[in-house]
Amino acid sequence: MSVRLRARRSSLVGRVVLGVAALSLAATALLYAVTIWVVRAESDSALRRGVDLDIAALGDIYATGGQRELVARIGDRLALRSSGPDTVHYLVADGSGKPLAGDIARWPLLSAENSQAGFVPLADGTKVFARATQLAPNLRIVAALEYGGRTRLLARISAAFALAGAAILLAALLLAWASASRLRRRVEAINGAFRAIEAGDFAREVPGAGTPDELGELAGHARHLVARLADVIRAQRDVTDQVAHEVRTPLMHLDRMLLRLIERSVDPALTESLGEVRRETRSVAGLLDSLLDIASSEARRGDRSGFSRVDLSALAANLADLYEDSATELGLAFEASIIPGVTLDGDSMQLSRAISNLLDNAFKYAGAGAIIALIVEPGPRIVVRDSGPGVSEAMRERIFERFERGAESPTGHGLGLALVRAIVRRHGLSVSCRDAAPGAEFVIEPEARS
Amino acid sequence: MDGLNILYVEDDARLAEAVGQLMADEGHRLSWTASGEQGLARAAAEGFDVVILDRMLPDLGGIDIVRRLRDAGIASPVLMLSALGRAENRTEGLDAGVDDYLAKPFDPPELLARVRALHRRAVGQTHSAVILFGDLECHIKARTAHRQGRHIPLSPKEFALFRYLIENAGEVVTREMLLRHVWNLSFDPQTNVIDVNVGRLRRKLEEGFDGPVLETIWGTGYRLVAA
Repeated sequence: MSVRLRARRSSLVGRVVLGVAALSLAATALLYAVTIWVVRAESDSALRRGVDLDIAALGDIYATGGQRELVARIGDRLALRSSGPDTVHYLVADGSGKPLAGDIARWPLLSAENSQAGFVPLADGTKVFARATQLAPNLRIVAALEYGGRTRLLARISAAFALAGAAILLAALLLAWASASRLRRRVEAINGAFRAIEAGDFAREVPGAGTPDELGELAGHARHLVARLADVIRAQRDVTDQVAHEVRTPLMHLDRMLLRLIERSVDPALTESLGEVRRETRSVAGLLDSLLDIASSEARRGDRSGFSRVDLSALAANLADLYEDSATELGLAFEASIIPGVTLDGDSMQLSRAISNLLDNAFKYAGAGAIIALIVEPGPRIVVRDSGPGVSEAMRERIFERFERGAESPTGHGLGLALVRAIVRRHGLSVSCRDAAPGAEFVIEPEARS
Repeated sequence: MDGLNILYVEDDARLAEAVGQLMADEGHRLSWTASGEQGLARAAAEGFDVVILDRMLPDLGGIDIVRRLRDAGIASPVLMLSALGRAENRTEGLDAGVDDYLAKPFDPPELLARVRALHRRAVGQTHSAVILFGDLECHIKARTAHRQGRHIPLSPKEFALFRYLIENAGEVVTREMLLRHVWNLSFDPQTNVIDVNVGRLRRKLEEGFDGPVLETIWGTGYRLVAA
């Protein structure tokens, strides 16, 4: 379960700022669309009202004063009209559309019979809203109103929205960036404390626990947990040290007394027995140390404090050199196949010990004539292989449990391989025992990620 | 070697008495204090040849004492004699500035050998380019060994072993000392690797010559003797 946290590649700040930017843009655009729609509808009906009133008034004039009066009054109106964006235009025409009066040169695309109204271009290109109507079988009229004012109003509204939109966007971006950055800094401070703990620094305070909000509460929980973890680790160390002290001190006095007895003994058989007792007391101390070593390594699984870059190849070569001659002595063939430059972050003494225990194990069980190989490859991958009797399938897992011993040899406490497993696990590695046909191989390699 | 002035900081009076007797038998003078604070003050003021520190003391622990001594620039050789004897404990001690670390229960000859080796290293008798002992020569720079003027070819590790032995010539060196100084290991492999390596060196040093030079001290270690 080696908790190697993946390095963070993105920050919440970017996502928050982008989200806020998109939202403020969408909101501004929607508001703009609604505004334009309302203004357009309102000005359309104002145009329609204006043109319709004009047509109705002209209709009245024709009804009371006839065609002559109508033409005269249109002439007056055209003469008196003010020039501007909303100028009026008229056309009085006969039944075939031939102009009789007014300033529109040609009959527009409007049906007088249906009293049609609409936005049309005039012959000179002027854009107008116009209504045509049939006053008499041979007389029709068009009243038109330019809508430049409306166009300009809409342009102003668009410009205003563009400006305001940009300002809103900028303000939203700034605000989002500022608050997300503040959030990021506070979360980062908590993360920093956790990273320090990962490296073994429990003294570091978790910052921000005083703030009365959600993050403050989170920091508070983190601080509480870190303090408890530090207490547990300290307690584990204290108990370990106390146990060692309390057991080893009486053993030491016992050992001294045995030594004095041996000095005074004149009976060789007694001397021999006393020597045996001394070895037993030493063995108890050794057993205790092994158990404490295993407990300590297991408790520190995933704790990378005190680790440094270890040259695994150099370390293995040193051990190979140390073990080489013992192999010859024991009638074994020993081969070291070490690829140089394989490194690992770890505790070099512990790693030496793990490899040394595997070699001890192979030397003990392989039997005369066997071949023992020590292999170090990038990965890192460490293999200790022997061509001895091998390990039965049922034992291949159990062999790493405490106090499991090979059936052939009654020596040792059966803790060597348990310590190997505890050490490699602390380093995020695994150890497994496999069939080497013939013999057994112990493989240390990175733990499979689940 | 003349007797050494040794300071022993230890709260176990029975052990202190026994160690005092052991040192007196060897001609050393041992000053004992049960207090860490007092031990620190005396170690800082009195210039002992070797300081032996217990680790778990009621007032000021051995690790703190050595740290404060080193911070104050006092380089007296310090041996930590502790019930905490695991590799991890040793590393902590060595990191704090201890020169050697021995676990209780210990063999009296081992303690004596360590104290003598510490003192020898501290007074720096081994800075010469060539170390001579009996008919043996060790050329430090050239990394070569000679006996009776004849070159003895050694592997790099064999030379390191020979050099450590000749630096402590005439004195016992223990297996633990060899493991730590030649192979840089602070734990004891279960296999008899040290004996085998020393045996190989012995054959090279003794084959074709008269008289043994590398002696096994049963139950303790090895000693280079002048032929």
